[in-house]
Amino acid sequence: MMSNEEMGIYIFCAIQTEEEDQFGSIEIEGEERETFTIRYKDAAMVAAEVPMKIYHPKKQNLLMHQGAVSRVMDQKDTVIPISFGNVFKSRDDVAALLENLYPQFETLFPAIKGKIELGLKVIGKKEWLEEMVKENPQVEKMASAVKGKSESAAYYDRIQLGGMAQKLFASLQNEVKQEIFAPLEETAVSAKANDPSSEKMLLNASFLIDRDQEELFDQKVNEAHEKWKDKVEFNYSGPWPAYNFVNIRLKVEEG
Amino acid sequence: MIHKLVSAPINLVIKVGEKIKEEADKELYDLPTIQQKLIQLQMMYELGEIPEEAFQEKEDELLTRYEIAKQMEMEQWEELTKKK
Repeated sequence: MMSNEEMGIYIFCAIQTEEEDQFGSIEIEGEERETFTIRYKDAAMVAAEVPMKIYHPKKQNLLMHQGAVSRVMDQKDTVIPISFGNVFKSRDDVAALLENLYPQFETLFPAIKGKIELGLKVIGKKEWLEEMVKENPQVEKMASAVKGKSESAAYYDRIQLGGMAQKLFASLQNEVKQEIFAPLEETAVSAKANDPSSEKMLLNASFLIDRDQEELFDQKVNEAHEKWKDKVEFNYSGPWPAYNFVNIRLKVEEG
Repeated sequence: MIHKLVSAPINLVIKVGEKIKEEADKELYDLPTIQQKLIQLQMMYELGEIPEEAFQEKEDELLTRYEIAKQMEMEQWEELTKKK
């Protein structure tokens, strides 16, 4: 392609490897780009040469990033995820970056070898949540007290109602944690309950599991879904690299 | 003494103000937060919950914030490309 565009190096993830790996090409904003690796000791960055700019985190771009990382995960069992949209000026810069991050990678590799991350979001169905509110006599009573009153007249009632609704939600979240999260945690190497990203979300969990436990884990998720499917929606995703269990510090280590 | 009494709360107010700004900046320029908001916005638009004009306007605002935040993050990454 003839162009005056300034090119940069986009990085997808880091891997532990002792060989020259090939991960094929990937389409980025309509252009086919060949991926390649930049190696240092037993580590490598998986990268592609792309126009130097800030890539917007739109659906297609995010899927492109995810797709590349998934393809790498099909071939390699030790993958360190790197966030979306990081483009560097040159291969030399990426090589220096890898060298500087290597002490962190060295510690991470054994911890994530053969592991995958799975995500589970549990979202309360509207009908069930409304039913729970009705079953809670205090909330129901307060809600009807608020109804029909002017905003200022019902001011304190509304505050109380808000507090009660919050308590009800906290107890539902707790129930889901005990009934769904806790049994799954037993099969995981590590598990995290993240902050819910919407108001109806009762659980936003990430699990780090051994690849060979994936089938068993799927089965357990399915069992939980059977039990809860009338009340909640399950959003089960993966396998991902250990996004929620790896935290690369963006600082050069002293000494 | 009265001088001290007057100046102390002002300092305090400035400090509190700075703290609030810091927190707001953190939220405003937090990459995962912005990314999450963009995905939610896209979903709302696809479900027909918001009109195209409102979607475009909000998306532009979020993308501008994303660019600023990403620029700041890339500066940190670039520090790491310097030889130790």
